[in-house]
Amino acid sequence: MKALNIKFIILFCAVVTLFASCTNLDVDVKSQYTKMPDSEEAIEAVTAEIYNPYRTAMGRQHWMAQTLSTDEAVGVSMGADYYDGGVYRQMSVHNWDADNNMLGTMWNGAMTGITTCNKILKMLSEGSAKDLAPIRTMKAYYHFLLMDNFGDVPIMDDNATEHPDRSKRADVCKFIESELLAAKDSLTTEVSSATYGKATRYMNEALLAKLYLNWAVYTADNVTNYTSSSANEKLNDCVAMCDDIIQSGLFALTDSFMVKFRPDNGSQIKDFIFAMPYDRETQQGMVHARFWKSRSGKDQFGVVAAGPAGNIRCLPEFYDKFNLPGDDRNLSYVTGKQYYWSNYEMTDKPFMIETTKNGYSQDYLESDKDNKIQWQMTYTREITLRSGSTLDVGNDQRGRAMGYRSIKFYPDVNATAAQGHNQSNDMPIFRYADILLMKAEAILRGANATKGDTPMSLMNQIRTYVHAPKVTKDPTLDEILDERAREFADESWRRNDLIRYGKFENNWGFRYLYEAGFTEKFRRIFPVSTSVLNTNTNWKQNSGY
Amino acid sequence: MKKQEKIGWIRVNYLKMTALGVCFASTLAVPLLAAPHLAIPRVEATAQQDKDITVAGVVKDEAGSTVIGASVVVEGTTNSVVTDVDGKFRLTNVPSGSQLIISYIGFQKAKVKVKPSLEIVLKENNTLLDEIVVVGYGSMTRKDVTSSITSVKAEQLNVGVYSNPAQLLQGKVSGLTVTQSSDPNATPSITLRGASTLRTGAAQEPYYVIDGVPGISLSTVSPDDIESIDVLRDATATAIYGSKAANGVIIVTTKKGKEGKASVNYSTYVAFDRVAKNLKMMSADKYRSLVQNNGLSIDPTDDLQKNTDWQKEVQRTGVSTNHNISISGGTEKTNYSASINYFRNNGVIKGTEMERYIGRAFARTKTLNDRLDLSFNINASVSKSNEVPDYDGGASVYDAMNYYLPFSPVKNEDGTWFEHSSRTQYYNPVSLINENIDYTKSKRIQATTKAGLEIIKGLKYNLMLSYENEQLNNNLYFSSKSLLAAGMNGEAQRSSVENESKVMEMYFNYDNTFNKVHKLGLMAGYSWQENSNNDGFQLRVSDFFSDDLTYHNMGMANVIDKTQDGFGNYNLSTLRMISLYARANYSYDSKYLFQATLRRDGSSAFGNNNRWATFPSVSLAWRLSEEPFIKNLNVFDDLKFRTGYGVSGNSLGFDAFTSTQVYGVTGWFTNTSGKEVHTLGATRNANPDLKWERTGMFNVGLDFGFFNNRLTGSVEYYNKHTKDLIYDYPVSTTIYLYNYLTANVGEISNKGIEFTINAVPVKTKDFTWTTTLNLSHNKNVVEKLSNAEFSVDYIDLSDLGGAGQSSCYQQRIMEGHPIGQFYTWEWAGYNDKGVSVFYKHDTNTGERTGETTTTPKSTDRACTGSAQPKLTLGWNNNLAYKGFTLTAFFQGMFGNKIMNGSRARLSNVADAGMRNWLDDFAETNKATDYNSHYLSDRYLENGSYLRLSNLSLGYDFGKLGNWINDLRINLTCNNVFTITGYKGLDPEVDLGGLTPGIDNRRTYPRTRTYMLGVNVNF
Repeated sequence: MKALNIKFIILFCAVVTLFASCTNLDVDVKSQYTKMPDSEEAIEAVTAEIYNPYRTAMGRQHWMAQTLSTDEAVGVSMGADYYDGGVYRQMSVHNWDADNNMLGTMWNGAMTGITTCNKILKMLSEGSAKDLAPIRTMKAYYHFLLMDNFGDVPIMDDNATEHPDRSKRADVCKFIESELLAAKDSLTTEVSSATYGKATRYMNEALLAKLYLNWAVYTADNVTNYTSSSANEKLNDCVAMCDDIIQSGLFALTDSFMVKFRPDNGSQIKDFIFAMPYDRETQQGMVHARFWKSRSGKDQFGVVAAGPAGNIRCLPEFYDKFNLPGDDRNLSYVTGKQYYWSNYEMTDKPFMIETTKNGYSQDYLESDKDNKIQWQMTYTREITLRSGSTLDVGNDQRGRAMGYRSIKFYPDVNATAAQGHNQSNDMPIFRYADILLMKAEAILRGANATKGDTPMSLMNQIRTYVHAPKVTKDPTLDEILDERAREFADESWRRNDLIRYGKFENNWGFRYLYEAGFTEKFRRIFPVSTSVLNTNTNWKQNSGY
Repeated sequence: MKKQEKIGWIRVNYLKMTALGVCFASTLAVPLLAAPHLAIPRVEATAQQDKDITVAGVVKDEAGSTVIGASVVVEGTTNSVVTDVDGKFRLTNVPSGSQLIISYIGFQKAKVKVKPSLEIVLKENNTLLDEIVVVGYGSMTRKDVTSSITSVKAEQLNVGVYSNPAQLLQGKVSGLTVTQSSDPNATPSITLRGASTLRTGAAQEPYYVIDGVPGISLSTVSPDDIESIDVLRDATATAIYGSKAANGVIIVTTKKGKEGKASVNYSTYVAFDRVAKNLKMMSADKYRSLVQNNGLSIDPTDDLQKNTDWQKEVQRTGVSTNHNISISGGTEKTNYSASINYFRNNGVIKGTEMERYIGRAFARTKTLNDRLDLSFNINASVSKSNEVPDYDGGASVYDAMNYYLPFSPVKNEDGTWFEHSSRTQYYNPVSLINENIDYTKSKRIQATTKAGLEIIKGLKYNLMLSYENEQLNNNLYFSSKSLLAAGMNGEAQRSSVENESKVMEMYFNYDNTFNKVHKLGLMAGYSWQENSNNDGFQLRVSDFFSDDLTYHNMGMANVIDKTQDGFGNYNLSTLRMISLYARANYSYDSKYLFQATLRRDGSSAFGNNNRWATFPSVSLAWRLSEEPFIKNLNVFDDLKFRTGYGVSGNSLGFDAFTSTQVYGVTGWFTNTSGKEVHTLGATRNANPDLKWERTGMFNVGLDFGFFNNRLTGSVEYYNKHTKDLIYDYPVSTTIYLYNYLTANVGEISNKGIEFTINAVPVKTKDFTWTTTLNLSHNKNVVEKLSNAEFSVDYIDLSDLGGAGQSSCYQQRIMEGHPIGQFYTWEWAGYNDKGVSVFYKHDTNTGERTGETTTTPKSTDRACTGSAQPKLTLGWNNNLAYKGFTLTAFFQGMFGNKIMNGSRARLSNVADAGMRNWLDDFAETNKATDYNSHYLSDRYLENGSYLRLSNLSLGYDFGKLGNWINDLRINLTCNNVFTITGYKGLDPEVDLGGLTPGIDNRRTYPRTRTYMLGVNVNF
């Protein structure tokens, strides 16, 4: 029995060994990086993350907030469809509140942009000024987005660990300026497919020009005190930034207008200084056609998988600005009788809808109301409401066809069911055309004219490339604003322009449904979203909200 | 001849137990095989063998009735018989002087010395007190239990087309709330004594232990193989499972071979499932005339003058079958069992099917002079599931069969599917079934080895090793004609995922009784578990030349989806859990009982600062019925007072790397070489302080028995408080990279009363009626959602969608209210234009302003009801007359609210001409009401119901000739009737998760099942 004895000892020793050694809870993480890879390619990939956080907001919520709150467009409902708790209507009648979910998405997108930049700045703390400059520039851009929309926002230090307080809008504005100036000379001056959508010297300067042009808005001690004639000490700086971009010779207005915004646009567009790239598969978020196309017009531009919402409509007075003969920009909207489109061209095949007289108009109640009719879809200029409380235009064919539709960002007909509403159209943020018009506006507002440019010559550069009649004298400020409307429609700048012109409180569209909005100048900045205040409990809501 | 073998001593010094510095050092002297009284006499072959005799006898119960089917075995041999229909038996070749062992379910084993003629009277088990209750790492008799444990034996389990043990338990255990669906591929939701976490899935469910193996998959066990299920309900019972036990523990014990002749058992059933209730939708004529009379129109492309009953088009009678064959047997030292199970459940919706094969084998033997008990068990299963599309946005067969317009045909004249593809969220349900494939095959294999070594009398060392491997393969194909993949020329997706689990448990048991009155039980052990889950990959491709090959040849596709979604985001996640545990039981004279447990748990899922936690419990019981002053009353057969407090944790339902900072792909960009590549970034905020959710539970109970234990029962009260709730809290992006951080913040309490009564109101020679009633009440309250660092005032949940209602939430989690608190608009009737109006609320105070509005905002919501039932009931009746048994089982819930989202959706006035309405639409709505479908308390209905969920008639033929030992047949009907005021499909809606009580469009119809079962024993 000795053998048994030994076996038991061995068994017991084994058990005891197991007991003593098995308290180790360190498990290898095999499937995910717990340390950031540090190859050159990886660092580039990490740094590139600074361009991603605002993509979703830019393609939808930011665009809607900048567009529906202006005279460009209205967000209607069709019967019960697309009322959605009033998020679109609030923007259109100027009675938005802190619960409007567009605002939280915008805030979080920009704030994540800032924290991302800060983390990478920390990570690259040893890096050269050249490495850090694009990150500081993007960080300034995200601060700009927040400051422009929400007024007082925190100035985010690289090492914030506690909830910082919000700084005065004017201080944020000055912080953005100093960051941009500090980074400017270290940024690349290369403009190519490799720098497309990234922070270059010219992106930095375009942002500075925008900041300087709006300087008086941003530095007003109270946003409600700003008027269009408030003095702006930075107009000459604005011109200087524009001039540096113009002088580079790297940008031009050589692309035909409508081609610039198609799904196949990209780094080849000479007009784009800075753009947010979108891809229906990999860089998703751009969904304009979902909201612009008719609810009944799913396959008008090609057979696609996703059914459109069709609740955003052009306001008639805005469309009236597209009145210049021969102007390529007039093609930004489809109006009247509709035809099928193919390969960016309208065909001669009418876009027919089989319906009934009553299906066309729910108010048609004659005895032949159920007779079938073939109706060519026809967009009307006017938008008439069935109910003001929901901006309801009716869910019949007539209601669906009210209001003209923007096809400036041409629908992406290659999106499959898996990609849903996503389009590949890149969204320009700073364009050369904007630089020219900003310079013209700055001069009209009192800056010194430089390089022999006059407001007239600058405006005519635009008129020429879009084949619109040239002006024969210097335009007025209001004419510049109208030119901006034609040039930058649907590009999310209208709110910024109207505030600078002091016209954000004017009467248009369906704003009569909330008359108080005509005097509520505090709406020049949005309220901080409830969800943001919930996680930053030391902050106060913007006054007025 | 006697021989003693002295093996010797092993002395083990200073066992270092933990790496955290919690060492407990001890000197354990183990006298191995040393005690002289354990020496086993070698039985010599004797001359008695030639004196074999024949024994004939009869087995009776105390009332004098013969016992049919009792097993009679000659001790130490395989020589055995079963008593016949007259209770008689006859055994030949029995050595005189040997012993017979007679056993039968429900009776105490009898041992008698052989005589040529015998009459044996079997004593009934005192089922309540002598019942063996399985507790964690051991078992004890019912009378010694100090905590809340409910045992359900195989014959008490629900009968039906069930694949999951939770279904077998519905209504059987007070405090256990089970809700199930008739979808063959759905898993029932199960909660014990209320939800105590803000996480869903495994985090909310009880912990399962099968034959001592913790945390393994239930789908390797066929319901036919289950011997009993023990539900550990209070913390003093569950604390031994520490961090996994906050939601209770369910211990499943499977059937093992018994000593005696090999027994072969075959059971089978065939079941027919019919839809018990459909939503009554409008016929084509009624719909057409209603729309047209209200001045609304019908799109002529829809109205092709058909009258399609879409429900009928997608439904069928589901035929399900089950076959289970098992063999078992053994001797005193060795026993074995093996079984094969085939189960097929065809759902009532065409295309929904589940098929499963299970094989099991078990062998056990005693060796080393009967001191080492070794057993091996292997379970293998293969399941195949076919599902039909059930996605959001109308792309669900269960939704489309109601909303699709009745005058449209299933197919166009050219044989293609009728579709109206320009209408968003509108899918032909028959095409959804036929043009899409969703097929899952899962394989599981699980093996267990156990060894038990008796070191000295009373001291036993137990070792258990378990390995489980699971492989899940999912195959999807959306054809070129499917609207789900419009414009894609066919889309295929295949994924393959492997999960693996390794468990080692070892523990020492010591049980002894000193001076006949001091009963002592000690147990200490160690457990190591590692789960490696989600190890897999996926490929999604599209654009095929034809649909012929479906998903079978991915290489034929022209497009590969290169997004992260396309690759499925499968990340191997390894979780390691290590525990040390101990328990002490002491009872004095079976009168004063004491138990204490302690478990120290470590889990790799938690932050480096908080990986270990300790979970203690203590409980006491006093068996008053043993006291003379109670005994003298001659009223109580049993009276026991129990109380205890214990702490358990919750570390289930986690990604193993929840607290770790990880980096991954965040998007795409064009790099300096002009190549499109991924961007990299943090994909989670790290939280090194993440720690255990802790549930403290106080329990007090009283067990009683009267009238010779013909009336027994118990009453319990518990107070369960959970703190450090883990939730993805929204955090400020001014500090964190992400909007959310997984952190410990809130607190939840559950308080409840449970009442169980078992009675045998009638018992005569031929007729017995037993009845069991259990009632339970639980009050769930979210106590806190904030701490100093993180705060949220509320969490809005249940975004049910619906036209014009994106991002309008119907439930809210907030302090002072239960999970499942409905927070909705309040319907105030109609305005003078016939439009639904809702009460306005002041944005600051939340009070009603007295005004109403047609356009309510999120701030106009208020508390309008709770999804938590106030009372749940299970009531079982068993009538036995001779060979017949009749079982009627009622089950119900009372005092809860259900949000009938389906009704709201199918009552949308604005859907005129676009989607079908409920048949009673015109009676319940005004044509002018464009707000008719707005979710509000108008659609919040009382969810109380009482259901006769099981009616079963069985007959036992007993022994048939020499071939069949026993034959039983039974006829069962499930869901016989339901008494309820609820207007939806069925009031039994999911009560698990964070959004209980929602019935929103995608509801699988409840069925009524008729089944015929046969059980034969050879």
